[in-house]
Amino acid sequence: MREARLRWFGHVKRRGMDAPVRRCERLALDGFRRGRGRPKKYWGEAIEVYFEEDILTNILSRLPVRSLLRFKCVAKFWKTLVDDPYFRMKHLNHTKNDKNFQKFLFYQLSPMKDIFSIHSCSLSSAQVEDVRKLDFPSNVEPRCCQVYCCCDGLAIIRVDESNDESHILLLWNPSTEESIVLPTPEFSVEGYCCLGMSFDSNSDDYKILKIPQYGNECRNVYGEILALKSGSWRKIDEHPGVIFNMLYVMHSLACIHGAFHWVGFSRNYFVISLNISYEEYGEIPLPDGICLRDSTDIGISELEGMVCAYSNAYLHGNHPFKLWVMKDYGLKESWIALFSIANPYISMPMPKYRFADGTVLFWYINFRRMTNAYGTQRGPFRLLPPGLAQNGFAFTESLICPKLLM
Amino acid sequence: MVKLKSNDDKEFEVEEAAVIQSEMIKNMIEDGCATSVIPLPNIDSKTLIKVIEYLNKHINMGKAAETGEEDDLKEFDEQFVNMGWEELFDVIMAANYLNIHELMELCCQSAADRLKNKSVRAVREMLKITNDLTEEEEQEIINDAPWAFEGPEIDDTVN
Repeated sequence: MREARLRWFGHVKRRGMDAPVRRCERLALDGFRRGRGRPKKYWGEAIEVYFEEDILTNILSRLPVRSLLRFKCVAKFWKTLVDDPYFRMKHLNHTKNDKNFQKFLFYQLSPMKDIFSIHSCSLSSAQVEDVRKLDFPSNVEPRCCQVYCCCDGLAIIRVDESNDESHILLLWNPSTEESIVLPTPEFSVEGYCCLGMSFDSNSDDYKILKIPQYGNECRNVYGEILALKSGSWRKIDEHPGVIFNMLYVMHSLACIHGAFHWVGFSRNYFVISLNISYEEYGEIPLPDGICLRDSTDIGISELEGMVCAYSNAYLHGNHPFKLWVMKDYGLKESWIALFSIANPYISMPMPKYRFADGTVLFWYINFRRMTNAYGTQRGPFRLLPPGLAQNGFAFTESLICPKLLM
Repeated sequence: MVKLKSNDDKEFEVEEAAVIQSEMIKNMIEDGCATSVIPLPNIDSKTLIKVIEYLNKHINMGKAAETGEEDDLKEFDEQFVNMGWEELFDVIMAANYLNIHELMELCCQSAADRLKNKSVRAVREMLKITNDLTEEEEQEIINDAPWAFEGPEIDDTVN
């Protein structure tokens, strides 16, 4: 086989530079602007490596993280490949679009022991499978724990080892259990604030945005942004004219279409967008028919790459909970109502994930028991356990290594 | 019709509509380089027969969606990849060389599905890979993620 391949190689090399087979070689060498990762090896320089590595990459990028961590033991070449940041990006690009790689990270306070536990499980079908108890990214079992958001297989998590003032903010990959401590923001995360994280292709860097629940006039707290490579937080200007941000501590800033989104209020409620590359604000109108009266929770989250808006009148009647998705980004006419349910026990619901069959998984506070639980438009979702101080986040499993991002 | 020649000197005639699923041959035809027989010096006739079988079945992919033949095609694909490792790898090499995107996707996914739950030992044996890691290096990898090496789904059989 190898001999045949090399023979063909000679045959190709002898052909004129304009023959189609050689054109691709020239294309490859023409020097595309270098993207992320190391440059690809082309067959002009190493025919053997090109074939082997390209095909192996193609096959392995379809495997779960667990298999890949195991297969690092197959041989040196496999270890090098799996550890390669370029391969890790390729793997992520594959897993992002594949429902089989969608996982759920959930944590809760164990009522007996007064400590937190954290688990991950598979969410591929409307089933909960492969539940795995994870070790916290700290040495002791935490007294307090909060996950803020997930992005590309990474979670931003705060773990407090004791009840004193100190707490650390970590960037953690629950699939590989690698983590780094993030710099401390000027305005503590202790106050009411929400975080979002996204990759900014313009600066080839991940950015984390922290937005306070109230405007700075009330609390004198600013929004801050952390570009990971810069290593420190910096203040950002507020949206001009916004009186307050309708954010609760369990919300995340939804990142869609290269911008973070949340609900703000000036004269009306509307969706604030903040472009991650240029840090410019924009506005998107909420769907008609969203309940805007007092004591209504309005939120924005991401479902299948779309902006999702929801409302819950948690003090009125049967606590109507309505949910919309925006099919075409930024186009008001494309808001589509997905469902509307009324259940007096459901308050402060938050959509978390949409299964392939359209079922939407949401978190909520059970108004009667005052515990946190999960449900879908079809009823309670008991595969995920209800609990105290509990929350969960859908994430794509990835090999992205937090240490290499800062 | 386009004529293809395998490395064991067997010629095959394939409809142009089928063969242009190969980006490489499509380019050759567009450049007028496919007037006579196209030699494929690194594909044997056994593999080429499989590839042609695939190309003929997947002719006019767009039509399948219209006429509701998608299930039929899915069933064909499932049957198609039901082959031994060596054969699968030959088809992958051929699909890679001929640049047939869909076939490459199908076969690489099949290879990944077969590897997914295998033990390290099984993978080495299936792919005939010699372990060149030292015992210490291996232990270090295991210590980094011991959970990846334990579990009832891990399959140590070679097939």
